[in-house]
Amino acid sequence: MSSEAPKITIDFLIGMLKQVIEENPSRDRGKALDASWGPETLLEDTGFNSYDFVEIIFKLEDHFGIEIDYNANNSINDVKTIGELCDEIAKLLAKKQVA
Amino acid sequence: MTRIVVSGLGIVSPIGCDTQSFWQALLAGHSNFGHASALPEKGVRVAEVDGEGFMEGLGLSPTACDRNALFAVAAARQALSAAGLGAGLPHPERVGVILGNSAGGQCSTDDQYSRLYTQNKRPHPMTVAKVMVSSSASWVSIATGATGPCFVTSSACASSSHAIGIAMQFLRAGLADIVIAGGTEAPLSAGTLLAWDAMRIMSRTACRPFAAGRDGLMLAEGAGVIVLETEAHARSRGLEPTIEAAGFGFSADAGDIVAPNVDGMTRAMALALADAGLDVGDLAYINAHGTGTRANDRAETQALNRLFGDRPVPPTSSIKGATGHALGAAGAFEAIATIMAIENGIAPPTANFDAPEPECDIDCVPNQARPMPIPAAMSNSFAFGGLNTALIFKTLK
Repeated sequence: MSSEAPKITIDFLIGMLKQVIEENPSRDRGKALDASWGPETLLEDTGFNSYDFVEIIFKLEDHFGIEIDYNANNSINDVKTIGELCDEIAKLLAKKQVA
Repeated sequence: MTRIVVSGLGIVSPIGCDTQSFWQALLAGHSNFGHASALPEKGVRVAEVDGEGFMEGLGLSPTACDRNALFAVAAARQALSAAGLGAGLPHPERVGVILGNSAGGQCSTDDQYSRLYTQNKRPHPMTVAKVMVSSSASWVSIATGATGPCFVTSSACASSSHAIGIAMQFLRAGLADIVIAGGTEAPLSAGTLLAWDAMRIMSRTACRPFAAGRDGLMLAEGAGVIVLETEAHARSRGLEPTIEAAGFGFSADAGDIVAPNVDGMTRAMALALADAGLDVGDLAYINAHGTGTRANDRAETQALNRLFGDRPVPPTSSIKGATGHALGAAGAFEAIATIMAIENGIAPPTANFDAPEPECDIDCVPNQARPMPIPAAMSNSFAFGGLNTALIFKTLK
């Protein structure tokens, strides 16, 4: 495995967010996908919930071929915006590099 | 309405394979968590039933029966013995078996399909009979001779609470005189454990319901069985029953497939109270679903506060800190704990409670069992998929 921490960009994350939300359409949030999203977009306006986060972590692990130490009961559920979510994921990825 | 009474209890659990051992461990706050035998290297901690002692005298073989069916038969034999029916059933066609189970023979599925996938070997001829979700009810019927209504209810973590509640309805409707009710689960196979682990809700430390910093649930296995009987039938056999199965409420959230829902929880509890003809003020103790996940314990606290309104929520403990979460058997474990709490006048504690949590502002009977009169108590089960149940037991007057 590379010694570099995998890098994640806002655009990459937004693409993944939209994919997770599209794959779980039962939560009545399809309309939110039409909106323009950026770092300041509130997660609650995207229809994103804590369980989507579990799926994002799962996709990141598959994408980068890594394991990420994450428990859905921890404070990451408190992030409010897409930018904050991206920062949190970057921290998890960086922690992976240190480990 | 026909009154339904509790005639006998039986249990196979990680903290005891008879009701007294189970109860003493609960009161002491003992747990039995360790690394999963099926995944010793992965760091997944679970609560397993110790050894094969529970198999003694069963006369059944693991070749023919999945572990969940073995647990169920062992618990059913205990419960029938306690109900004075150990020597046989007087009218077997009037005795039903209604058990909860969430996912069938998970250990057998793993064992047999891994033969196919890794060794290109055929599954054993008994595989279908072992993995079918209804096998536990069938084996209890076969082992006890009960020939009345017999089936399994499957509603994830509410499976055995549904089974007990449906058993009450069958008895009230006159479809049986006795129902062997409860639930069983043997989910600690490698595949099932990793599927749960992928949800990121399993604690790696300890299951700490209602505590600050709680970090999830721990899976467990076992079975709990309650012999339910119409009061008239129990008295006709010379019993003097002391506990009534008084109320059952259930609801569906029609919401999220995994997230809990305060409205659905509250509605199930309110319906159970109405079914029992009780008011919230009559409940002295509540045995919570209390999984130790952030989402469940917060939502359950909100639902209790909403149900009780201006009145104080009575002492409410979760035994999952001791037992772990036995999924389709959890409701049966907890109904048995609730019944024993009423019988003994002691609220079992919430084990591993190490720090108060503002968003769980209830008296969760932290760490120390509490002697108190418990004339009536409720046991909650709230399952994935938004399936909610509440059972109410009370002293028989």
